[in-house]
Amino acid sequence: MTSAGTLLVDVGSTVVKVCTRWRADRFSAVRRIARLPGVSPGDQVSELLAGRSSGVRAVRVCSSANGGVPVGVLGLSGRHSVAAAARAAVAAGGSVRYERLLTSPSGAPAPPVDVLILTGGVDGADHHRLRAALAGARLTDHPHEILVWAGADAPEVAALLPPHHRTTNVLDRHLRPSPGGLTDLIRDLYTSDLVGRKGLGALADVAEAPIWPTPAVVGLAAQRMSRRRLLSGVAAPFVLLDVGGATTDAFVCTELRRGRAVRLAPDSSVVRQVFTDLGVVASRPALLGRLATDPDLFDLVRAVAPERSRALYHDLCEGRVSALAPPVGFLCCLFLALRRLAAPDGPHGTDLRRAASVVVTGGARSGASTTQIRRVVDAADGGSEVSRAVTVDHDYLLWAYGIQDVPARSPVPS
Amino acid sequence: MFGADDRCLGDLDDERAQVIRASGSTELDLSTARRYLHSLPRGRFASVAYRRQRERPYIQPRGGLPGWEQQRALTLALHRAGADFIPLTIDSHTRHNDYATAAKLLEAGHAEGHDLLNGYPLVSHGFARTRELYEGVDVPVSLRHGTPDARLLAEVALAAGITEIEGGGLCYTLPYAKSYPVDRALVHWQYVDRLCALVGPADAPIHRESFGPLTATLVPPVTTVVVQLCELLLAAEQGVRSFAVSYGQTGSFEQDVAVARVLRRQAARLLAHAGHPDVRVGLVYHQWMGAFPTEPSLAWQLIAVSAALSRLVGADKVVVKTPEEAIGIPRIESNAAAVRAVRYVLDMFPDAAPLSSEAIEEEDDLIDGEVREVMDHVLNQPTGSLLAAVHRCVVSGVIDVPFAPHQQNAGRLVTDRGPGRRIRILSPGAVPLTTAQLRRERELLGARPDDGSLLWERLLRDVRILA
Repeated sequence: MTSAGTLLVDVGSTVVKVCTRWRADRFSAVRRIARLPGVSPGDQVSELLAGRSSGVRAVRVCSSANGGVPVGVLGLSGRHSVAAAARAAVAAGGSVRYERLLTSPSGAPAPPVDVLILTGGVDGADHHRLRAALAGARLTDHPHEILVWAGADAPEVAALLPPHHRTTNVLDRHLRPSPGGLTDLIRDLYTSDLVGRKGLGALADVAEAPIWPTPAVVGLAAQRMSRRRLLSGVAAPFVLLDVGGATTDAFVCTELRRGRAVRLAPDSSVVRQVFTDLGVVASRPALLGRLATDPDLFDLVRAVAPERSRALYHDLCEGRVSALAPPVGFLCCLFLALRRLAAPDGPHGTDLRRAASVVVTGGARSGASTTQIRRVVDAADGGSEVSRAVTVDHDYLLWAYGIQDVPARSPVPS
Repeated sequence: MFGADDRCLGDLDDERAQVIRASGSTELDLSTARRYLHSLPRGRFASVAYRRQRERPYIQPRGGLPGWEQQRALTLALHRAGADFIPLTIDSHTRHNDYATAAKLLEAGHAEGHDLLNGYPLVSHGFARTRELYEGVDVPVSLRHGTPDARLLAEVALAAGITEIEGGGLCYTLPYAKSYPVDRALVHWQYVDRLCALVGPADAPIHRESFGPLTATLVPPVTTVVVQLCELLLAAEQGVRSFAVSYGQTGSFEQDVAVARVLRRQAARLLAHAGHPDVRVGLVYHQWMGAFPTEPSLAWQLIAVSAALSRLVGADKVVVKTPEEAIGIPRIESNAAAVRAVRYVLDMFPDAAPLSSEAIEEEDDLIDGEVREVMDHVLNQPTGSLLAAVHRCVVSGVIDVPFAPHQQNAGRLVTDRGPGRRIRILSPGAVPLTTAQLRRERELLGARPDDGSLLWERLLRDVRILA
């Protein structure tokens, strides 16, 4: 290192990525260092920093988080408050396990989550319906550790269910999504959890910005990329996919969404979708289960491994773990994520054919060539011959672009 | 349109080796079928028979009995009676890949002196023993079964010298299975098609045939034709060069003629479009596949009329029923008698000219238009392969077979029988027909009977319309 820069660190579950930012958008090559077994991520990174202190002016850290903090959403309206809250949680790196209505209690108990978001109502409106719904809510059927109120700003309503945290309403007075407050809160909760769970506390003290979850950092890069070119050959509108060990994250330019998709906040330019069953390590059992019954399995194997498609087809039908050896697992996640995004009758409503670029990042792609990735992208889009750039973030630079945009301070509201 | 050549089967040899190894056979290997087929006289090949000039449709009975001796006796009796194709109909356990049970029941039936299987357990008997069934027989043998996964069955059949394989991923799954995944069946039939393309001699390719009658219960012509065309294209894609499309007697003479015309026309059009103009396509007519009269004299009338119709629609082959159809598996004598009777009727119509009438033209026009609509929909699916497109169309109800027991079949297409006993579409479900076509179907259906009957009552009655 010849002069001082900002050391950027991404703590993953199997690899630590490190590079130096010299000035805005100028980085050294990214080094990938294997995680040391038996050493906490925090200790390993601290040791790394100690060896480089002479050339380091500041440090920024992000961390993948094993799929994100589990979140449940309970609200008054599926199309408005629940949809807006779920989207805010996803944007913050949360993993939404369920979305339910206060007025239609499900017969089955909900799965346990770390964060339960309650939402509903419009600020300044009559809240008798909301109060009635909350009075009937059975929170014991929704096990959680932290309760967040993200609905109408009315003390008498929140008083019915004293939450651990309150944030601004996810709907504005015109019923438009207004996710900012909830997104910040979930991200901070997520970060605190990360810091504690991975032993990153010491790092948090020396870092010049809060430790954010990597998906949220990549989301910042996607926001920036929607406004100007960061990677060569990538033009907006794009779909950015980050395949990881536990999840696959998709960042989609909002102009690619079809008409019937859930309404977005007016200032959103990129929306994040997270697929919690698509990952190459922690989610491998779920992935195998999905693949064995996937109606598009034949298209998938032809794209992933044309030279041995029938053998792979049978292996996946039988749920053989060995079938997902790298890079097959990664390519399968990529295919399924794109198919779900593009499904005409699906919830994501992405018009893939109008995407000028598809960008792939993430360490899970080990060994997959650009040709393979391009073939999978085309197959997932129905074998189309649409002229579209497929770009692979070979140098893992997207997270570096994103982490430099993390605001220096983002306190957790109480 | 999907690619003319599917490159994605490079690993078929590995899969073949696995299938054969799993069967436990120590005699069968990757080259057994090919070696034996190349040594067979060309008269044993269905594809060669289809190329030959003839004055009448070929006659093919059905027939499968559990024991080798019984099957040998049936084969010789049918051969003597003048059958142009000899059948080998497979038992239900083998059809469902339960070879162990088939073998056990074969043995038990032999010990107890009566049949415990409803067909010939080909895998249990093995290819070598089955070859001996056909000593002295100089006509093609046709495999009839109903198997979603026919990979091993086809391996053994081809090694035994059987040169015509009936079936397909749709026609042998939707009417015959309840839960076997359609995409798996299509993938397994891709294996069978490619296998057939690989092992036959260049001058006498293995012949494939689809099964058009499907559930044989008020299946509208458009569904029959679309299923046949899909299976034809899937087979051609894998290199099959001789194929027969088929359908069952509809109950309406005009629709029978129109279906034959549309099948031939659309098969030629789509094969040319897909880059397979060299595939030879035959037409097979199944005698009435619905409930048969129990009274022998009526059954004979139906067989005779069906035989005449097969000639009038210009079929290349007719698949024959027996007067014991209503009772159960026919005796050997009854089966042979049916072959002789059909031959007798067909010989009355040498060089019959194609028929036409206003009603036939009307049916031809409507069915042809409907088939074009649905096939366009199939071929324009946003997917990279025909196989995946066909699968999608089944799941979405674009291909919908009335009364099929399969869970993945939409079952939303509703039909009824209109004037002239023609099958009409009452409600299309998700089958993508145009408004004009549906309006025409309604017009041709006419007013419903004013006897106060409900649709389900009429459908039930229709099951026994000729019985």
